Amino acid sequence: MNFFDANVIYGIPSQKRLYPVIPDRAALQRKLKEFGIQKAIVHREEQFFAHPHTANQMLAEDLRDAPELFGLWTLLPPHCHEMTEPEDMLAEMRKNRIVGWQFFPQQNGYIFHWRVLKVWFEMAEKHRLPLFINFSFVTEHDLLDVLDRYPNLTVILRNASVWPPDRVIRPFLTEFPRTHLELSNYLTADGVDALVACGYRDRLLYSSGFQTAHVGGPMMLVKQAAIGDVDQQQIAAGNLERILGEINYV
Amino acid sequence: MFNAHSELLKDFWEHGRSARCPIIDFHAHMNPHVGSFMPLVTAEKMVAKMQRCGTRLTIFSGHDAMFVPAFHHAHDLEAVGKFPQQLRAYFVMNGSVPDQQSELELLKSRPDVFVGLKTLGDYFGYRVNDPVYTPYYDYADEHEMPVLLHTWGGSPYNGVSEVEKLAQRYRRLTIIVGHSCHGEWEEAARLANTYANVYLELTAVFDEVGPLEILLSKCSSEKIVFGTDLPWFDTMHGVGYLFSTPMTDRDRENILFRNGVRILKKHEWFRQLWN
Repeated sequence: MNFFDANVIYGIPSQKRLYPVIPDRAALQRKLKEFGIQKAIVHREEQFFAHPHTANQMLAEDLRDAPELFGLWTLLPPHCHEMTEPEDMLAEMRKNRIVGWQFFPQQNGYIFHWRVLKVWFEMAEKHRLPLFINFSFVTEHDLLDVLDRYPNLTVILRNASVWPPDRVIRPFLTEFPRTHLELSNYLTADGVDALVACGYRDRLLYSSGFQTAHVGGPMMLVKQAAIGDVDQQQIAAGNLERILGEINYV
Repeated sequence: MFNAHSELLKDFWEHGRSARCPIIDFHAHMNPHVGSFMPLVTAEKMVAKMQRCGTRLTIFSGHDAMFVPAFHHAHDLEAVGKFPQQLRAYFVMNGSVPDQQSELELLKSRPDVFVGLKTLGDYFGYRVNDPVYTPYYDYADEHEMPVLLHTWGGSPYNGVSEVEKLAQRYRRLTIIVGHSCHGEWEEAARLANTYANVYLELTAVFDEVGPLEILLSKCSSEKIVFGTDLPWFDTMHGVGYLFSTPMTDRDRENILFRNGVRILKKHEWFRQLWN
């Protein structure tokens, strides 16, 4: 079984953490090889703690010659001209192996609202750029408001806590055909089996949340789900391959 | 396979279970829950899951027993009655129940079902050492039962100090520290090291890297037992976490079943079930 991890973090956090830090790309690559993870979407701790443009460029530098890694950039509203301008964004993303965006509105001091971010949302919808939404940082209500206006956005959801989130997640999966759930925080007993039985096989993505979480829990969840080998492989890697293949950078 | 150094993982990776490493689950529930949808809420589905994972025994306390006292533990009695080879129940002590005498009589009358005690201080609003629970603890101590405590770091109802007070009061019952005083990991390890009858339990410990590493650096794997919170968290997630955490396969066996056997083998019901 091949694994394409939808959420891997590395870099040095500026606050105390319990987990041992994977400080740089080389150390990360060694770990992923040890775990048997063939590809991963990665972001750096610094993209949360530092100015997004500064940290985005750190990530871009790391990814330049790492074909198994793909990156996320942290976005800001475009109005203060602090980062790559919208007209240059697609070319910069393609050049730097960036495949999606993440948002930390409270930490970065802006409002997650369609009027604030509409330039990005219009671009994402048109070019099928995935938005990686962590409900620890973007509220469910705010995302619903955005999706009501941009229902064809490609969205990868991460639930905010480990407690079973189906009452929150399933309405998104049902109402918006391009929303997906990454499994790094989804521990529900036989929850993957149940979601597949409800027709959501193509909407689930293997994801570990490493370095903050261990890779083995979500791997075992997918490997031992009673859903058949083909479905397991779709979740382990195939769905994410499809989503990235749909990105149109021009 | 994510841990090439573990021979034991090969069994779980290929088959989802291991004949040489059965599982004893010390912390589970049952029935639907007010706050979350979960697929495996019936006894039938939980036992099917146990069989897939190689879980030989689960000791549980149903959500209905915890949050609907008016049912008088009926659903837990029914579940163990259906699956006596796989399930036993903790008797839920809740200080809110008006007739504690009848509760105590029920506990004493069904040793075939209730093999331990459980309480949730934060949820019920009664401290672990509230006097209302003393007759239950006396009974559990007399019969050397396991007592599963929901614990959480910093809690006045079920934090470190409440666990320690109970450990100082009773030496024959076995205290299972559910969630290992989540967040106060070093204090939890100190309790396990200080009191022979205190064991740490791992539900909700599996949500990040670090806590189990701290516990294992401060106390022996012989003082840690496995739990899932089933139907909340998947057994395979917990197993995968154990095999991602640096330790020996012997440590993993201790956690998954050897410690449980050592704790429970004094009881005739367990020896019959296990053998």
